[in-house]
Amino acid sequence: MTFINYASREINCKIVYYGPGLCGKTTNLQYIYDSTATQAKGKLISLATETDRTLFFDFMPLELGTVRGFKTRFHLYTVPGQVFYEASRKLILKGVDGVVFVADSQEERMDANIESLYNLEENLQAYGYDLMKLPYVLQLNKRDLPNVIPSPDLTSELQRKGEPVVEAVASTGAGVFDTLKAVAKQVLTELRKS
Amino acid sequence: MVLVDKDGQQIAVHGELGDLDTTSLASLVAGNVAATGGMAKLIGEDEFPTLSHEGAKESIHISVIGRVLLVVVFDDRSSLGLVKLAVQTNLSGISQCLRGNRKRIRHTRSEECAPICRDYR
Repeated sequence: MTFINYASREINCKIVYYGPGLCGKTTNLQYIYDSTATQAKGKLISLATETDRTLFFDFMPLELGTVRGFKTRFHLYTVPGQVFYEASRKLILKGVDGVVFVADSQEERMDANIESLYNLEENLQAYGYDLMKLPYVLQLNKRDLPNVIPSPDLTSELQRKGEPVVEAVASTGAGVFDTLKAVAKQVLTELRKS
Repeated sequence: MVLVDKDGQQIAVHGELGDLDTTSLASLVAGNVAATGGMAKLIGEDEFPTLSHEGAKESIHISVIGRVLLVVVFDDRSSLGLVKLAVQTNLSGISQCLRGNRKRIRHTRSEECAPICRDYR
């Protein structure tokens, strides 16, 4: 849920990057962290295992300008993608304002994408959220790899409600900011409505 | 009592745990230790060696023993002080046992796995 602090004139929103293991959620956040000005971002906290797999979450606060005199701060989170960390993954979705689903475009990861998407819908429902009403963006990541499924096929399989679809190569930064902008825009539109 | 590795994999379970979902507990404990470890680093500490959470009836005490986490779930028949004392008293024994296990695993790997490795070479 968006947190509005009238005293300090700040709006805090929570965006969660969701997706199967090794799809590039942390890479998205890392690229955003590396390419933003120091004054606009806080510390990137990455709680990972010794093999650099996300154990609990990655977190970074990011300031994205002002809306009607209120400073907007986005809290970006990633979830652990491995199926095993289900309990932790669910916790991180609590109070979410917008979701980015990072899909792995490789053919052999299609089943993992579908499983993760179902898991997202289930976990959102557990908190009383409906994916159909939540600000949501689908990112098709790893487009630079040779064994990828064509975008239209991947989109028809994974798109849920006509949400924006962004092709990306998170390791080089292609599409990373487009994804962030697309979800931030929807979150702010929702905020204006309320 | 549950023994968990720092990545959240359950190693051993002992005692009356009823229908407690120890797999979820293990992954959440690892997440919790990782999160408090993050807090420790923010204030200049390496990590917090023990964590405890007290509920109305059930409580949890977590000790970090190298790469392994010892989780004790206890109810109002015991107290945090008693659990801390019991864990502290047995800590060296547990660490020794874990070190012994690691040695045995290394030995098993080198002795018993060698023929398997050869077959698959």
